[in-house]
Amino acid sequence: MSEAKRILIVDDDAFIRRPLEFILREEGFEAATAANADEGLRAIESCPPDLIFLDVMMPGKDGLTWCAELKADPRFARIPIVLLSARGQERDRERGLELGAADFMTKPYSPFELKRRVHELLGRG
Amino acid sequence: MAQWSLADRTLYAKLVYYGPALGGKTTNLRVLHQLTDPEGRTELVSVNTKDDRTLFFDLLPFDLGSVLGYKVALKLYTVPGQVHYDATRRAVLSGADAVVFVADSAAGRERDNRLAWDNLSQNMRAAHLDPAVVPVLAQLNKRDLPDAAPQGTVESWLGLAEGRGMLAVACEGHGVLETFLAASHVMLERLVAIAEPQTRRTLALGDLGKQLDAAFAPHLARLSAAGGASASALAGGSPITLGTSDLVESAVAGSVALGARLVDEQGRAARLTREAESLRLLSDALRTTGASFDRAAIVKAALSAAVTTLGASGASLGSLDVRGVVALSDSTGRDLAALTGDAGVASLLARMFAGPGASVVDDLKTELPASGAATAGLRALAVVPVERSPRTSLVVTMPEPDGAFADSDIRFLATLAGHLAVGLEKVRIHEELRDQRDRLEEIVNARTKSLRKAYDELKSIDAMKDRFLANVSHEMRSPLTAIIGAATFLKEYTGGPAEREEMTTGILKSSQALDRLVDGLLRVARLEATDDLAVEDIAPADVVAEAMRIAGAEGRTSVLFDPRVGSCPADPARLATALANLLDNAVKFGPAGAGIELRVAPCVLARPGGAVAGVSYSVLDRGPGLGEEDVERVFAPFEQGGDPMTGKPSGVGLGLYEARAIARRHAGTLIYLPRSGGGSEFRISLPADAVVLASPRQARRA
Repeated sequence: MSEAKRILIVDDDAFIRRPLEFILREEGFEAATAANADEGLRAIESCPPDLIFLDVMMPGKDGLTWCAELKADPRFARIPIVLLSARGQERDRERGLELGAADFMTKPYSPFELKRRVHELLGRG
Repeated sequence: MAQWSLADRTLYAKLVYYGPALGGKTTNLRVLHQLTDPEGRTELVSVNTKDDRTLFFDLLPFDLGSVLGYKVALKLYTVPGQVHYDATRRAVLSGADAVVFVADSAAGRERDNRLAWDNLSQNMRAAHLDPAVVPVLAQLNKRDLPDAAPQGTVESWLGLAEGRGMLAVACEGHGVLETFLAASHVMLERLVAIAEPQTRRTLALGDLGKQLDAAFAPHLARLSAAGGASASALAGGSPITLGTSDLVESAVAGSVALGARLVDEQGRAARLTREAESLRLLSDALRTTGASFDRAAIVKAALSAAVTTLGASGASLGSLDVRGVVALSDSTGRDLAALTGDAGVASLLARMFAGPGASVVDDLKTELPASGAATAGLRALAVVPVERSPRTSLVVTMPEPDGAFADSDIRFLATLAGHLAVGLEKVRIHEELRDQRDRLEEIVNARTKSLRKAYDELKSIDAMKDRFLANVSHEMRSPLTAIIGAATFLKEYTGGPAEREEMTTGILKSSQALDRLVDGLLRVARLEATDDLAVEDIAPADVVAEAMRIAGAEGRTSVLFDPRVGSCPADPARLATALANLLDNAVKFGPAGAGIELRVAPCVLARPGGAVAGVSYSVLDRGPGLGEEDVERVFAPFEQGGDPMTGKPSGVGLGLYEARAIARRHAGTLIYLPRSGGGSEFRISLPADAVVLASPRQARRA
């Protein structure tokens, strides 16, 4: 059995962040959290994750911008990013996928749906 | 035309009897026929025309015997007197050597006599007979009628000098031969005078009177023998002595009178020609200016036509205003505008304008002896109405010393005025149409503008609605995501007690956030619907405390109370809501809720009637403040201060909208002020004697 996959959750809302963190841990993942892009970058640099859940609307640097920056950075470009947005606008989804996001989910999402994406993206049934 | 025949030494001449119908022309000829041809060797010939009415066309070869060494063969004609036989009359008159006009003395036939006299004048001109060459004698017939007009009166009808008419009662033979003799005498004299020199050499010139007397002697003798009265029997008539100069003078007088009439006729014809020419000029002018609708040009054309045609010194268009004052403009020729400067002239003009028709003053000096300078050089003045309301008239002046308006001039001016009135009406209609078109254009422009504005407003409302839905969607999805996540964890996983506790708290807090959101939406909906405020005297401190409770801002807000503020009138629940909204924003946008202040202080509100005292409630933060472009936007419904993509404000964008609506319902204000040292100040100011404004709905109903 290989080492547990590491997943980073970036969302400014703790009430959203925490249940996700708990569930992923229960599912056997290593879960890390950040409330904004700056915290997130520090987390990535100290220990690069295998997958990032990224909220689109955050104070400071927004999710889309940061996603583009990560994809432009050769150190992190390969880390798959799943964008989370409370605005279910098709424009946001297209933009996110254009910027290199692996997937886009609209809040409120089902935790099971989220779990399924994780397994797909990390190659574990 | 007379003909001197050398071959048979005979003078052929033509004498025509002219006059009104039934005046006695034929009777004259019958009497002469009897006298000169008692045996009836020749016949009196009559010719019937194609009409029913019979007319006589008498021919009398009349041998006067030897005069001037010639036999005189006279052809006597009479003409039909009825008006409609003018062509026949003209034919008979052609080539006449003398004319006897037989006037009817009956008092009732003045008009017939005048018309026949005028008709003779016209026809002589048409036949190229000059009264100066072809003598015309007037016989005043029917002197025996009981209603015969006095001799002088009948003569005046024909324009004859008194005593110049030959008196006659033709039906009784009185005066017939005398008239004929006089006519023959004058005619022969004239014929001799105008005879060709070679003819004249053949004439046995002597005393023509004596020769004629001799020639007529047998006839006169026969007349006397027949017991016919002599001319002396006629009332008022002097005895006629044949061959006297009186007779000749009478004949000449008739010719002179007719000649004068002819000159009048010619003058009138010339004037008519001139008028026709002027009207043609005028109509040309109007046609030329017709397409331009140029009022000044049309007026100018009419005034010029007046001046040119009448030889006037000046013409102007005058108008009478409601005060009864006349103003003159558009002068052609002499500038008449100055006329109204003289009080006397102004008053005269006002009177002339007030009348219904044309008005003429023949002699201004007599009418207004004191008007000196104003009327200098002017003799006559005419005012001819153009338009009724407002009254405008042509004002025309004639120059000194003898300028005058004839009746025909006034008729011409009236025609001109008619043309002008039509022209001015046309201009007015054109101008009205143009104004109307301009007005329509303005209306269309205004409508287009207001439609565009309405369209823009609708578009902006639509965009606002889209933003609102996006905001509401976001604000609801976030807590729902949290609740679903936490509930899923609790249901599917065991977790530790701390984790379960945290999830439960998350569900609770998120539910409360949802509750606040729904509450806000309902509050705004009610704001549009409710009518009244529950105004009472409130203690500001209580309201502030309540607001901080609602916003959850206790403990991180400094409250500063000005000690001068006591109680003031307000709806405490609504005011608390408004302040809570402001505090909520301060918490949301300020750096971690730091530096929030709530200040309550006396203030002054500007009112149309003067400043009034009030209380202000300010909420201050140390957030980023508002850009200039955001200051008004943030107060609109469903708007939020920050960029939703980056700033992530939480709320539906109704807080400031609701707070401002509440302030206004209290007759107060809510304004934004940049806070010194950075940050925002939102200040609610309420009048201390709060007037409760009508709700928008009531205002609409009013």
